[in-house]
Amino acid sequence: MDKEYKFHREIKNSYWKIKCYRNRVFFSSTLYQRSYYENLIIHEVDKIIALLEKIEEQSALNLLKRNPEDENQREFTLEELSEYDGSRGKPGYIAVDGVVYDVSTSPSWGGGTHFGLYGGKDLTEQFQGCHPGAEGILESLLKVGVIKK
Amino acid sequence: MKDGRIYCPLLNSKNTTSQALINSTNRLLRQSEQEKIDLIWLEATGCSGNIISLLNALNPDIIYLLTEMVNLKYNNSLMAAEGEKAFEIFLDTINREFILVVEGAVSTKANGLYTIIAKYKGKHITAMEAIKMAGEKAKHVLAVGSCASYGGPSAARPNPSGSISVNEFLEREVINIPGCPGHPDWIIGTIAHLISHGRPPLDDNNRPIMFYGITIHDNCPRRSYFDKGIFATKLGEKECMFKLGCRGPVTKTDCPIRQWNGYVNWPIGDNTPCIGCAQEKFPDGMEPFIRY
Repeated sequence: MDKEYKFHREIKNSYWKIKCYRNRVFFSSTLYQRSYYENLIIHEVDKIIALLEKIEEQSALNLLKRNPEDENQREFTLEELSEYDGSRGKPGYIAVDGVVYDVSTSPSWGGGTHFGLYGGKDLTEQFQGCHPGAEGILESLLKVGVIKK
Repeated sequence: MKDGRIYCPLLNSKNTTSQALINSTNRLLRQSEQEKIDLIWLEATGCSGNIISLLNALNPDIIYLLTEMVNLKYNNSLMAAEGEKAFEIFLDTINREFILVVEGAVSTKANGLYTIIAKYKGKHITAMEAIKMAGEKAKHVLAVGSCASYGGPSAARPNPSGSISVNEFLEREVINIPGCPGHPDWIIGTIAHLISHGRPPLDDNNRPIMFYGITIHDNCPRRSYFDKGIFATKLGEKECMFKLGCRGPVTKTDCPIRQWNGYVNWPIGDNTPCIGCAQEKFPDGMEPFIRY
């Protein structure tokens, strides 16, 4: 908010200056005078362009920072989940601790398989057996829903 | 930039790492008048693919290894002696300083009777015994190939021979050079480092970082397809083969750069996915090799 106010104030400053220089251009008697004020106007216009670009950048960043809505509460039955096993170009989903993850482009899940395990299944046991206490691995996976209770 | 290609000195130097090490070794040898160290190459429970791969070496080649780098004292494929006389050379060499290279896993079932490497004075000498004898006394031990490094195909389910890796069998540090087979450059390059600069820097799987530091995925020419999510749907297509089961992302070797068979080809370059032959869990953990 602070930044926005600062931008607003600076643009307003440039606006008044341009207005003032424009008048001086109108009333200038020599070519030299005219081009002098025109240059000052161009300078202010450049300033405004830079400020507007900064504002654009800020708003783009703000969009990214906003947390994605929790629309990933899609519910899966185990049968539905088995469809998504990564074969024939289908996405690969796995379930661990009731949460369904999309592992289609996860580097260790080439061809929808992972060290002998196939996608489309509940792999809670295998996960606990092979990665005990490593919940950080799950954090980096894309959540797509939950297992229907 | 030339023809739109970027010249990266780091990548280009990978092609000549082994040669550079050899050259500096030669310089050291001439300076210090060091004696060439002895080398024993034991073929245990495997397919002998690694000694064949070694014979394919180009930079430097096998002749260079044998004449300038080490004294290969014992190897059943290449040595001239036969029978008991050959095994006597083995027994003699282990009493001096030597490097032990083991290819193939160590079969432990039936007291190692699944792999017999010699018959000496009426007794069968198992590979397990020989590795133990030599492994205890060797200056360095190299486990060449995925079988020696991790068990590999010899230890694949259901592992009827009770094969284990050399690391698991010996109670000492073993340098792993996995690959099915190991690339000749990786083998000779590591030997070169050993004889000139000692133990190379190893990762936590005991593999030399100079060859096994980066995944195939991070060096793959098809990586931009992966990053953009453009995947091949069947073999023969030019896009990323990740969805077909490529194991590049979990395999750490320099195949895309060094390439094979005299540096001319490698799986992805020949339109087939990587099967992760140098990965710890090869082959059971790298299945299926193709997923449709």
